[in-house]
Amino acid sequence: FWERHLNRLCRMHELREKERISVAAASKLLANIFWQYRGQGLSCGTMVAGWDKKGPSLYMVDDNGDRHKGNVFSVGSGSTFAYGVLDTGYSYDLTVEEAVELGRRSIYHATHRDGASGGVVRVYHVHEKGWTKMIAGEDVNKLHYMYAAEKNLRGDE
Amino acid sequence: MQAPVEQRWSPYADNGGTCMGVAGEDFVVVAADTRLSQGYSIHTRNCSKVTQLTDKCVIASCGMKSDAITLHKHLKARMVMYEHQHRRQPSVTAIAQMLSTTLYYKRFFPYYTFNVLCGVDDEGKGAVYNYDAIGNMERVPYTTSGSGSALVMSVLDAQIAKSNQTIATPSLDKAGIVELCKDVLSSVGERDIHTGDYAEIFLIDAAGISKTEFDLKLD
Repeated sequence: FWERHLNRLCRMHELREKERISVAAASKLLANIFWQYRGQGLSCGTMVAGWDKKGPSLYMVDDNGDRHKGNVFSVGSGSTFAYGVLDTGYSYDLTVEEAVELGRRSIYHATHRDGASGGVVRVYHVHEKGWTKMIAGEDVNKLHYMYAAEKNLRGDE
Repeated sequence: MQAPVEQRWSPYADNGGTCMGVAGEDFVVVAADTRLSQGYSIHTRNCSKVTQLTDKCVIASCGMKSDAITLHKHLKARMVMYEHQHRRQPSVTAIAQMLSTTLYYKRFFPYYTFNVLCGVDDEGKGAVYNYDAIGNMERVPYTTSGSGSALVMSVLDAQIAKSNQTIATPSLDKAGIVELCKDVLSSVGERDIHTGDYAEIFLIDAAGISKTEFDLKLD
């Protein structure tokens, strides 16, 4: 609901200002909404990623009204598990392919250990010309056996 | 002396029952029982959970009957408004999002309804949407909601998605899916006390919406 709402606000900005909204402004619009509803029970962790005049930016916005700019974030019940894999493999100089693989692997590990996470992995690449769906929907069960095979394990030990 | 316990009147009630929807290539099957209950008592044996919104779309709601009545009334009014403004009936996809926002507008005093929206989309394909009480929506191949939903979902996962099955079996055609829905509702009627009496089956395809009824156990 709120992301659809943010979509409308960003479009209104474009119509009024005749200019694409910045990532900082878009993320702040959302963070301010969450701040207004603070304590009323909304539950949401979001990554606002985009390109603007300052280049690529990533903001993490959550239901507390927190908004942080950064290069690496993980959010949700399985976030701690994802951080482990993410922080081990991360460097600013990763190529797109390496980053996509790191993201996929981090999500897989989170789904493996967190009971509340699972299903499929989707990975999106946000770039100057917009966004591309890099991985459409890979079943984590399949990834489990794939990563096990890389270590010469069967995956059901 | 016992510790004090707060007693409060609850604005919500659970009137029981089960509903389900299965999408096919160019049709949908919607099935729901007609029992209305409160606790161990039955209010009535013959109360429909399903409302037809357009020539191609129906909504089925489980949970609290009064909220379902008001929600369906509100949606029907919105259908009239849409037809006045757009000179045509809304598509299933449009209604699906409208339902999601309608539910979320009552985020802090929700409609206690667990909805299944079914229809044939603009491309002619069967569409089933599953909702929670505050409007989370997901388009799915099949779904269920209500007191017997846990019982139904396992059977649908096995028979339609054939999850976790290695032996291949032929997939069901339109008549097969209707028979499956009837069998599933009968089985749920056996095990869930809130589901039973009679059932309505709606078949929505290119030809329109047809309804059949059949008996469930009255116990």
